[in-house]
Amino acid sequence: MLETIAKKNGIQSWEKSFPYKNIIPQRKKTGIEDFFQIEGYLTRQKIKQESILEIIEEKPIKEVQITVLGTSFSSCAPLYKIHSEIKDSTQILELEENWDDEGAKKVQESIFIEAVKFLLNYSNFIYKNFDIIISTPEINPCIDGSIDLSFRNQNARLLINIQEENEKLNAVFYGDLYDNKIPIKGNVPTKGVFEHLAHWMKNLS
Amino acid sequence: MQEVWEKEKISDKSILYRFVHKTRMDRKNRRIPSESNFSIKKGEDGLSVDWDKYTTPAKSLARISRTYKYGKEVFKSYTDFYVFSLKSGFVRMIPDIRDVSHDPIFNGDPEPIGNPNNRAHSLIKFDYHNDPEVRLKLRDHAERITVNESQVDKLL
Repeated sequence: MLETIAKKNGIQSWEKSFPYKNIIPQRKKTGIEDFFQIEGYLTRQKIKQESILEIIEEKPIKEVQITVLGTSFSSCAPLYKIHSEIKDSTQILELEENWDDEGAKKVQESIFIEAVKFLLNYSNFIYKNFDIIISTPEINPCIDGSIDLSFRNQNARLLINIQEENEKLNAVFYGDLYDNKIPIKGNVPTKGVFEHLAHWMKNLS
Repeated sequence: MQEVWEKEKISDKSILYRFVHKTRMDRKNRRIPSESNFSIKKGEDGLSVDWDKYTTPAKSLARISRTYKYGKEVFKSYTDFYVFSLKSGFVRMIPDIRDVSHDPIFNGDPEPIGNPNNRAHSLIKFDYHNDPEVRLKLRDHAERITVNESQVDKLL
């Protein structure tokens, strides 16, 4: 049936590019958008509910290149507010040692870049897989030379601290839906995307 | 160094003042304070605050202006600092906060230039120096206090 739908919509290389036999549709309440899980990966498709499921469009995602201190990152264009915060926050690197008059450490470029990479990894993952643009965090320096990503919206708050511990970069986090509801606390390596954290971050839409 | 002030028990009804340095990052539409204003460095005993039993926001700001900047013989300016208040009873209820304890600083009599005594000095102690839950909750609880500069100037 899906093969017929694909041909009807002019999708030629359907089977090659889309292993539809492994598709598990999960209907959302609206019936307008849906997610298909394909062998562990999530791909967003717009579908329309008629007598049968009809694929009408694959949503194109425009990507842009962001260059931060000579390092290039690819990111989805709709995340432009996050890109803007990243650009603004580069002034953190202008803070000298003792920037608070009380002995604060200078933020190292490597930690700042790792924080940017972490933020882009998660915000792009959530956008690509769940069609959610998370709220823009504030990127702040801490006195120990680490970086905070501080997220807040009406429903949720989340603080992620990117730091170096024993020569390894870690993200230590705490979040809840205010009043300690649905809390999440822990730490993850900064490399890659950990799905339990990404799923919780959907609350930041 | 002789300690002339005994450490006392801080009641849950007490108010603690936290002084936060202004930076260039405090630009328009930024949340002040941020959680980063409640971070401490690894190895530090706790987050420094002043206990309202022995100070007022104006007195503490005046003391800041009598204090040298870290590693320099240059005085701080109280106008570079925001003041926030925290209720000690609330602070003690935050998980992972070990204690709120009085930690008076006595540097000498007369007090040395640039290193004033501070009987109000206290510490909010937590085990992990950068605990995000502690910092997030302190940040959300903190209330900004506006201090009349003329009050501070009279004390200088």
